[in-house]
Amino acid sequence: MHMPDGFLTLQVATIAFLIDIPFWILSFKKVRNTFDAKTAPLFGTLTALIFAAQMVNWPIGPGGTTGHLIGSPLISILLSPYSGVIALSIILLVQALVFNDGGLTTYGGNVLSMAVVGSFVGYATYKATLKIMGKLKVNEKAKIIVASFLGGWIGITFAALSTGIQLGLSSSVFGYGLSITVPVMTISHAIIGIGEGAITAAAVYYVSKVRPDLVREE
Amino acid sequence: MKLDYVMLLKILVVAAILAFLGSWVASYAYEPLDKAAEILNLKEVEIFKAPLSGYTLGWKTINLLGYELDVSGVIAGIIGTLIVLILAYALASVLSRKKS
Repeated sequence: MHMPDGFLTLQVATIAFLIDIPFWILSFKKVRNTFDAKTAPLFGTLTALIFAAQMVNWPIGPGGTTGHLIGSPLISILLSPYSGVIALSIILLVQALVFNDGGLTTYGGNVLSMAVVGSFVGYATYKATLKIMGKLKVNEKAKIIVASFLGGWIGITFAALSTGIQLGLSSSVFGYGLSITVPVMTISHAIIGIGEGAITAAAVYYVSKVRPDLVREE
Repeated sequence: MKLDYVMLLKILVVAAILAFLGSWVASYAYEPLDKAAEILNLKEVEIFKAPLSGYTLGWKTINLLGYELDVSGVIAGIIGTLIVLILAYALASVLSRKKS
């Protein structure tokens, strides 16, 4: 999902970057109020874990394509969506500057999709699912598994939708308009996203067993 | 929130394993965006050359258990993981210090 340099018009890339700014400011403010000396190591190791996990590709996409974890829903569920925005912003910056994975001019667009949309949509889906299932007589663990699966799955699918919109609005350089880019990116990642949902659910379930204080249901 | 060093160590071990796997057996990447770009014959604009471009140092591979192992790719993956770990931890530490 990483857009390289040359895939977005200057206007779209600039607008995406400008949209990111208030989310960065809000995220830094929120995180500064909640992080302490005990949260910092956990945030660092989880961010490193997501970076490493993004290098693992699974071949379940349509037409022989592969996919990988984006990880923002997972960090958002375990820490907060604000932590997810900052973690993915760091990862995307390192990937662009050190590995040429994702462009510099498209950095704002990639942050908008994978950090902002992935984090907030993933987290909102997780919380909404828990709330809906809270009224049902279902095992607590099952609620966490279903909610985190949907958080990961819907999170990556909406991140792909955001990327599809940006590419479609950049049809003068990318070649395809919104009618092609939006369904192609969204449908392919809705399939690939099953992996994101499964990994998110497995990770959140595991953490809920060993560190239940990290997986709060309120 | 309590600090759990065992859990942190477990996360780092899993990260190292993933970096190894991601640089070796699961490194083949052909994403939907790559496919669209291929159909359109759309080329990336390389505005600068990153030091570990393509997640490799460009060394030769060795054959391990029937797989061509790109040793430099594994090292690049580990280096990247360490860079992210240091940056994220440093930033989180600065933010938490400002609070106190």
